[in-house]
Amino acid sequence: MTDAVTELIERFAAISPTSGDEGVSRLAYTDLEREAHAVFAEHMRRLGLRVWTEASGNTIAELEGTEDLAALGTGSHLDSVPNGGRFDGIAGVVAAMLTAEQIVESGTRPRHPLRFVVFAAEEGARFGQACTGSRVAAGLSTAADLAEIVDADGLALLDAMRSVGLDVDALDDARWQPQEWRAFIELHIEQGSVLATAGDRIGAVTVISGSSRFAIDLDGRAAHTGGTPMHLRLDASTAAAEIVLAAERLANDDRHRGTRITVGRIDVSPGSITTIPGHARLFVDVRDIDAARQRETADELLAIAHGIAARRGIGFAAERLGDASPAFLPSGIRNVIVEAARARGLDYRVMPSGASHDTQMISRVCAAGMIFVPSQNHGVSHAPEELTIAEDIATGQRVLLDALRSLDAQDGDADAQADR
Amino acid sequence: MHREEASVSFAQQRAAADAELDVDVAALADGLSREGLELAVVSTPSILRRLAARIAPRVEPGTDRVCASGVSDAALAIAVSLHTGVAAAIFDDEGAALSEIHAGERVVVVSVRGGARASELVAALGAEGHEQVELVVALEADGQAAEHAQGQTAGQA
Repeated sequence: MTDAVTELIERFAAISPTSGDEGVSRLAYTDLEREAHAVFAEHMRRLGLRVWTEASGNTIAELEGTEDLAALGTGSHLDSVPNGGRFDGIAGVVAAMLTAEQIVESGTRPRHPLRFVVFAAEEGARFGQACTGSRVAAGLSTAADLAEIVDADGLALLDAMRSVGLDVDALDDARWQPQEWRAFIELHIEQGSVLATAGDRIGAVTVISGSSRFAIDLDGRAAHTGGTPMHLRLDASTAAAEIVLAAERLANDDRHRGTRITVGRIDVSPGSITTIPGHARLFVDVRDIDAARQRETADELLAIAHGIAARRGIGFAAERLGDASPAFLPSGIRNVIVEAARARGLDYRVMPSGASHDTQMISRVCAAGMIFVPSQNHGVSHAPEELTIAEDIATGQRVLLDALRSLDAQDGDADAQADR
Repeated sequence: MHREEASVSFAQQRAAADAELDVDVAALADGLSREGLELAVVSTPSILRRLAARIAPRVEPGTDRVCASGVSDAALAIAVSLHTGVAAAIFDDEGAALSEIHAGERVVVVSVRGGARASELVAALGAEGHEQVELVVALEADGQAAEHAQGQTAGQA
């Protein structure tokens, strides 16, 4: 089984113009992403599953159940960030493929239909918006919403979708119907170092962090670095630096266990070594597992930043870029995952997810859960150094299979509403 | 160019925040007993904090104590106390005060989901002559926000 994991991981990694130290580059709504989906689809068709592609680009393979029940689902995504890793999303798809294989080969049909899903465009690296395929499925993004989005080259998201053969006119019909879904479980690499540090093999996710994102524009005065004494400067970059450090202090204070603030990008202009920066634009990401604290922290940081700018005589403006609440995942699904790990004698940890995932969106459709498997190399992800040991993916896949079988044995649809 | 603009805010509309809280509580409630849910709610800070903030407006100016009995309701009372700055008073299952409370004080009884014990505490406090004893329930039986506090005044309890 470990060999099968490795083989599939390598197969997907090869669908990329970059490799080795340059990692995997398979951006959303490109031919490469569709090629990866086709590998999945072909694997599932060979197993006898019915396969279709949704207008959003999600690929779904269904194994019929023996009863007229809502579906159980599992899956993840196959797109990557530029020069990303080989495991983010792919691990969950590989787990889904092997789960389908094992169930088909067992000869025992599930009571519920089983749907194996590859979501399109989970990464926000190209278009800014993450989880596009699952957002459409959950009804959180409509065709009108997507029409507003362009990539860094000015290419419209809808045109990118058309260019890979997707029928964008049918996007608004691609919303998943809650009555068709009993539950969904996604296996994913942790993208952090908690599991590996603790020596745990399985993470059962309680809540997926939300995020409030904004940009801050600081307007100072561009001037000659030699001719302008320090006390006469209006330096936008030093104001930006003070704001970055204030953000770090805020996230580290004792009211914020679980808050993460990152200034991931600072654009300084005019960008000359001999010119005092007249303008700086900061991009700030405030993540939290606490919905109220997340918003309060974002507002507190904005107020602090405004105060810093005012004290320095620097102009200040802010722009809201995005705001998503944390998503609690139903404890019933989590307990099924925990029981599956326990039954196999695996050390597990009940934990939050700092990163966003497709499951965050799908939890709006049906009861949803996540299984984390350990990330190595200090939890590095979205980089070529991203590593999860094949044996850990195989272990997670066994827990996934057990959890799906457990849910399949439950009365199911009567519980579905209670789960939501 | 000098701009002064700090109007961006992430504060949520009350209705949206309440709706999200109900969804989160429902996720937490999945498969749990009544008591299990009460304990889960008060041991999950992001939910307890929001529940406390949601019912805090029912603690009107002039209230002297936020009262509760039982583990879960006591935790809620302390959260409301932290949010409002009004002192908490905790009672045991038999209704005996475990912390300071004085005759004639205006009190509010808080409870995660209400029930006989909370109602009995309201009755006992009313009988002892406390003013405007009011029961504020955070969640209805189905886990949704309780829209109406169950009020009782001294002499009626």
